[in-house]
Amino acid sequence: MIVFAPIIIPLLFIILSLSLNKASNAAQRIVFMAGNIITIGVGVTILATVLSEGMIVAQAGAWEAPYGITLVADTFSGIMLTLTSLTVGVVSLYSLAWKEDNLNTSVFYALIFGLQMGMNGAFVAGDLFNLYVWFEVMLISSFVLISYGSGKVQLKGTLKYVTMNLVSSFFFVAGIAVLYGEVGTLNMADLAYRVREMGSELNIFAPSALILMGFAVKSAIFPFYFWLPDSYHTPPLPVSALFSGTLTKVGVYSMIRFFSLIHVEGDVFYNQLFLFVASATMISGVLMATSQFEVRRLLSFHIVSQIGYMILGLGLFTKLALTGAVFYIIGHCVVKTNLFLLSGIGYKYTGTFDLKKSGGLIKKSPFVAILFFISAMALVGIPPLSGFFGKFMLIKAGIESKEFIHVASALAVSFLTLFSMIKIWNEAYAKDLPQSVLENGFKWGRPSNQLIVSSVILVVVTLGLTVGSKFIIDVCSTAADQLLDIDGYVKTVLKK
Amino acid sequence: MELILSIVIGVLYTVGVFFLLRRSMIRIILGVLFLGNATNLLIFVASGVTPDAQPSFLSSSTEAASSNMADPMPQALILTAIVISFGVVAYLLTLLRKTHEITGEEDMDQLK
Repeated sequence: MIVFAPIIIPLLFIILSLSLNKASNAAQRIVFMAGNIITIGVGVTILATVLSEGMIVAQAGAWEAPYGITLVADTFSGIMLTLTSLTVGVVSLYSLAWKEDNLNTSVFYALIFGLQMGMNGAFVAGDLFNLYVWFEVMLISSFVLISYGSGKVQLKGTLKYVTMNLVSSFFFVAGIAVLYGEVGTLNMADLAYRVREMGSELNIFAPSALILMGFAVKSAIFPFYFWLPDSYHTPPLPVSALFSGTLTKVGVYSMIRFFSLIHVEGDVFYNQLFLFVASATMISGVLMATSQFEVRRLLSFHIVSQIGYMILGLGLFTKLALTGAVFYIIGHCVVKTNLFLLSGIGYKYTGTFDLKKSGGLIKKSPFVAILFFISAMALVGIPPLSGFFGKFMLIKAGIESKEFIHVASALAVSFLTLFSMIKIWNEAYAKDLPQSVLENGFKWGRPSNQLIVSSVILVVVTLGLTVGSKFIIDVCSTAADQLLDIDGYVKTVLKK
Repeated sequence: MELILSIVIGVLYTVGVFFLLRRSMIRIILGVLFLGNATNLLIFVASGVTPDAQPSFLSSSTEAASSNMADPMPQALILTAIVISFGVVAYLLTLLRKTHEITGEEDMDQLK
């Protein structure tokens, strides 16, 4: 029954925060943080249960699979539940101290819980239509969050985001419709079973291609990523940080879940497609990032680029590659969120997100500079920081599978990422403030300590990924084993 | 029946895409509405149109009737999809109205 908790608890807290609309600000904040802590607790509990007792399956209303609504949590779901609730928790702490954009209202708190409910639902959904519904729950909350502030810029960004995501949802539903017509089931375990009986994943080529389109837009992979850098830099910074860390990962998670389940031994069409898409995503994302000077836009293009590494793991589809991909998702989610949070701290100091107009942070606050340096190097993958382990496993798996072109592009992209991070370092931290800014009566701002503490928590998690890397890699490889063991998944869910 | 409905779906998709690619804001809502309805019809047609079948829960007791039952699943899916697209369109209307109010623009190309 614990699989229902990650959905029900955020729902309860939505109701609670909205009903506290008239209560004092302090009460609202306490409920907000309590909700986040409980959700993290639920995520950790599910992960621990899955690790000790194996997959958890629950049927809503006691309708046996494949007829009812099935909720499934395996190690990968457990990891994602823990990871996203942790990220949301830290960003929530950060948003309480942001003090701009009117973020501290009960509606904002309710929306964050709504987002969390949608994501958690997507992680435990056992059938495709249920997955679609959770996607929509997540999207509707994110639609409102991304338009927060309702300035001209936000509304422009929101329009692009909303339209693209709606169209992708229609692709997804159309895929579900055709799939139901062809196979007669939407339960993912039952689907995996029947596709293997058919003998080839290409028997459901039309629906799976439509569903891939839906996932591709949501996870921003080549060539469907143009909406992301256009809309992720417009909302208030805590919202950008939240979206960059978590939302695209839900798309990647669903893609890995769906395509690993319908994979049939010997079919290489989708693997080759994913490899090509992965390289194209990595290279085009990072190349466009190099020309950016708005720090949030620059980081947004890097999200696109790094989604490519995760898809690379799916394309290679060996145990090592999937372990690397899962580890990379963990490291990336933490580090990317933190880079956004730090750019917000930089903004509090200098009052701008434009790299050309900022500078001098290393003298102003060496501590923040260290936090940035660790996060940036972890993103690039300098050993022994978290990005290194993920990339190392992915590249080793690529060499073992003899996909040398994709390995080469993964390595080249690492160098370009380093270039971008050094650019932020030089422009915002190392160089002195430009003369033109100083002449205009520049004054240093001061971020509150709570902002810096939130960032410190994420840096500690990043360092924890290094210190505890053996344990984390073991957990990731269990997740990879379960992803590859399709028979086990089918047996556990369908009991046959 | 399937043929006619398939053609209708095709036309709805065409019109929806055409509207989405226009520059006027109001056409975006129309486009989304058309695409949504086309998708709902697609769920209906893709799972098989059975004009002679009976509603599944009315006559499940008798053996003869149960062999000729309509599949309730696609209808449940369509119902959910309709509700979701209703909510989304309501949000989109508000969003576009607010955008129009703040920017004073009706042309999407001016909103770069």
